[in-house]
Amino acid sequence: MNILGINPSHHGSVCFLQNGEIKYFFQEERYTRIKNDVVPFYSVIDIALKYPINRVAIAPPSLRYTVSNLYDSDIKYPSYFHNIIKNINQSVHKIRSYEYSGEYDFSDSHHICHATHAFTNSGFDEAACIVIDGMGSLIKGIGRETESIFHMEFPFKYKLVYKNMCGMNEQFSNGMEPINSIEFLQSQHKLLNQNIHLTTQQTMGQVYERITEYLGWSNNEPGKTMGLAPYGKFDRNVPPFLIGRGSNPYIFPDLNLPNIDYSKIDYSKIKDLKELFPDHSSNPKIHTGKYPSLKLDVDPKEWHHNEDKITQKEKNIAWRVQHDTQELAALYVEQAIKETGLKKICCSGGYFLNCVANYYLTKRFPDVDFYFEPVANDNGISIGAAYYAWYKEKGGNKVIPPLKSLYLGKGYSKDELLKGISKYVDK
Amino acid sequence: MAYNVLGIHPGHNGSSALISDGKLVYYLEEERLSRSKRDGNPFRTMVDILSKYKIDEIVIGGTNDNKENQTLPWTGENLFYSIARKYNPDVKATMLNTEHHLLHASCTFFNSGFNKAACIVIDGAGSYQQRYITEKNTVDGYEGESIWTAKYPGDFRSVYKTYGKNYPPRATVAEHDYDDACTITKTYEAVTEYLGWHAIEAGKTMGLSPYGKQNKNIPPLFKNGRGNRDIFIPNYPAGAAVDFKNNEIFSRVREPEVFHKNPSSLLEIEADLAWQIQHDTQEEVSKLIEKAVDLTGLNKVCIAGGYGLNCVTNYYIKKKFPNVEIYHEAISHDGGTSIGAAKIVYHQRKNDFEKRKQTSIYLGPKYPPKQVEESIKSYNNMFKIYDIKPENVAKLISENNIVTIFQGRSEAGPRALGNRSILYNPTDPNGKDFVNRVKKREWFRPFAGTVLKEKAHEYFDMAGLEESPFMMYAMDVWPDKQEIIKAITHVDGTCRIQTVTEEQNPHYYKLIQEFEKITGVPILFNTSFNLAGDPLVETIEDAIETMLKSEMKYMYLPELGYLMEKK
Repeated sequence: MNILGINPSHHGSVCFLQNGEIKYFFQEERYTRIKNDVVPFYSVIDIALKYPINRVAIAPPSLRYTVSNLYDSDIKYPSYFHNIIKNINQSVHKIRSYEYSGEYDFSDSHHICHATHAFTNSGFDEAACIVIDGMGSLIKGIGRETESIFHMEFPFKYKLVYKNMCGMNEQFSNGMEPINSIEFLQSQHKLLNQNIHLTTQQTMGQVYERITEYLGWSNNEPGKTMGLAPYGKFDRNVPPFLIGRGSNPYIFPDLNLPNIDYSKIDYSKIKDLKELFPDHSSNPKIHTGKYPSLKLDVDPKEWHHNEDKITQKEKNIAWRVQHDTQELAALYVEQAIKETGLKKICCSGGYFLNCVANYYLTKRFPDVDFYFEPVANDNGISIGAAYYAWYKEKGGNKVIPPLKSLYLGKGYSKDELLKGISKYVDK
Repeated sequence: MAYNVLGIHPGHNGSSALISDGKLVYYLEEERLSRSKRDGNPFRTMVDILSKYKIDEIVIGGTNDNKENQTLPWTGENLFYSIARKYNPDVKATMLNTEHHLLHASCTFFNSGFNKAACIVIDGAGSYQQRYITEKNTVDGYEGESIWTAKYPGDFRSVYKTYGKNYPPRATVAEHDYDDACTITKTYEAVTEYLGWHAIEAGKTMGLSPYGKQNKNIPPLFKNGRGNRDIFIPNYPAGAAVDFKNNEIFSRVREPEVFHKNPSSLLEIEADLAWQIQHDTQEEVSKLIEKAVDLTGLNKVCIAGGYGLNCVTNYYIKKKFPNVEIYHEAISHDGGTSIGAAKIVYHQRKNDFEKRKQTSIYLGPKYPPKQVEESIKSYNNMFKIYDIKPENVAKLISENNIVTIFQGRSEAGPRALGNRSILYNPTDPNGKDFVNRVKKREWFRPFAGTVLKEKAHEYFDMAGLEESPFMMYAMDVWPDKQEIIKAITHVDGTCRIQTVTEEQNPHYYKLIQEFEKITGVPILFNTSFNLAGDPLVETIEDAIETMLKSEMKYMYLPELGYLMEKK
């Protein structure tokens, strides 16, 4: 059985799974030469031209998914991918009756793709999976998932242990079907319990992104902040960026909603539903009025390439955010151990590309068997989606071997290489 | 490096076209590759072009329908642009979906080779357009018929246009006519639906029409150039209906599908209505031609739009207007708008005045004979394959064997022109029924023929034409020849013909020559290589698959000199 897993959003990628084994894993940017390119048409077409495809699993592109109807067929991606693959498969591979199933129930959508991916590659039989990233799928009326802990085991099944979500008022706009019924909101809020937690603040992945932006890079480049961190040290003028499981509300006042206990809201008193959600539509800025000590004196662009211009302050800010987030990550590890009773932990989601934090966790928990997924960012969810589909089709036994190699891109024959260099060779 | 413009037509009969330095070098409809009839989104053909050529520009046509949302979430890019830029990062993109008729006009004008001409576009429904009368009042509707003046490098002006819509009001604004009554093609669609087919299968109604006659009880179908509102209910953008509940004469006594299979159950009213709609619409089209000549003062007319495939009307107006030079676009249906879209952008962008008359429409992908040879080897156990000379193939056909022919690049447009054809003996009196049965088509549908160009006048009244290379006319067969080529002479004594020269298609020409040597008739019975409801075969695998699921026995591969015989 040939399964094609697709991640249509940023870090667009395609995973071609042949009888449970990854035959190819393509990252769209490598071929189109556009960094973090989306909608991997090139990769999908390349594979569809070479192989017939029996099943397509499209990873939730963190768009709109509700708990009750997670797979929204109105979304354009699936139908377009479906159409392209169908037309190519019919013409090249002479598949007349095309098998397509878009009905995989990614119950926890984006994060479950990360978790399935890491768990399968780890080779563990049973493990806790921690997923930490910027933002995952939207659960309508609540917000987006940001940190999750799953208990996973074979035959493939999983249980949600904990999920932290951030409230988003984007769900009132962005062309989505508006939420205008209090009843709907109330029913969705009933889903919130000890396991599913909603914070009105920024969460750890986002805070790392905000600080990275503050230091003059794009939010896609947190690795640069991580690289700067060791130059810094503890500085009492740099306050903690995280309080509890969300951002320090005094530093990011744009989001400053009181921490609402959603189980005790008096819905009859709410006039505008938007009141319940912070506005993430523009990224919140650090409140330098309240914390003048955080005010940067030099434009970050100036010191990026000039060592003399940087001050200790920038270095200390980088140190602080690295320190705060890895402490919180450790907290999630402790929680995972406590709630699942397992000492085997798989980690995935963009945050776990933070190799400093990974090493810290490994040292801090010497008796825990960690697996850090190497393709932890959103590139990996196409693999997760393909694995998930494979388990759904084949009963979920542990048959996929643990990950051995990441050399999964296109191979090039000697002839192709010679052809490629020919125009640069002096004859 | 050549400047390559890729034209895309999303919509029914989706297609991709490639214009290289102004020359049409590739055209293919999606259905040929994806194998779903009239397939809409030309993904496969587009990918085929993108993987073979470097593209400088992509032009996206369409009809501006609300359902045509091609915007991708996340980036907001256009879907087709997104695919194109993955292969060509610097590709320029143009959307041309607000005036569907312009694309038809562009296609027919640039292919005609005329220096300056009037273009007439006639189709079911084009783009949905709004027009301001005053600042506050607008009228709107779907394009129905339009007349244009066209000149180089790409100057198209609309001088007359009708619009249709499901609801009133009626308005005429400076040669722009808005009404809720059906336009010409819509009435044809209504009758086609009434007869039990899909609105787009108008050719079947045309084929049925000669079985009918004038019937005084049928009320006038047209009033003031529009379909009679008491009879025709439009259903824009696709389809229309005959109001059989309020018109007793059309009341349903049974489902129309019954007569599709059984000649004896064809009702008089059904045949007569088909006759009447063919007759009336060709009169209406004549009026449009008069109007076009009047409004533009030009004596050269190019025709496009789905109705332009009506070969009966085409012949009729050719005869009726001997003094007007009329060009009928071979790719008149919506597929051709990808060509129109790419050509108009190319000519305007490069300010190109060069005229390029389309002399060949074998525009599909190239399949090297070696590759074909490789493919057929794997069917060794199902076919006997042997070398054969054209005279022996001609002999097989003359002995009333169906022989299919597969060679070269596939034909653009809906007609098989000897590269993907089913061939038969036109002199077999039972030929029509026999091949209709084999192809699983309706009993009444006629067949076309291919004739050596220099002999065409001996058999057909060519209405002043020198040739008909793209099979755009159903011509009168001279009365004394009708009995000879009975299999392809329709009940009204006409036949849709293709003339062929050695230059246009050497193998096919040679085969017909050999057939003439045996039978004395320089004509072959020619129908598209497919079974009813399938798209024309495109690859050798499609061809073999079609052979295997039908009772056809022989396939001729002239480039290889092979005959494949089913075991």
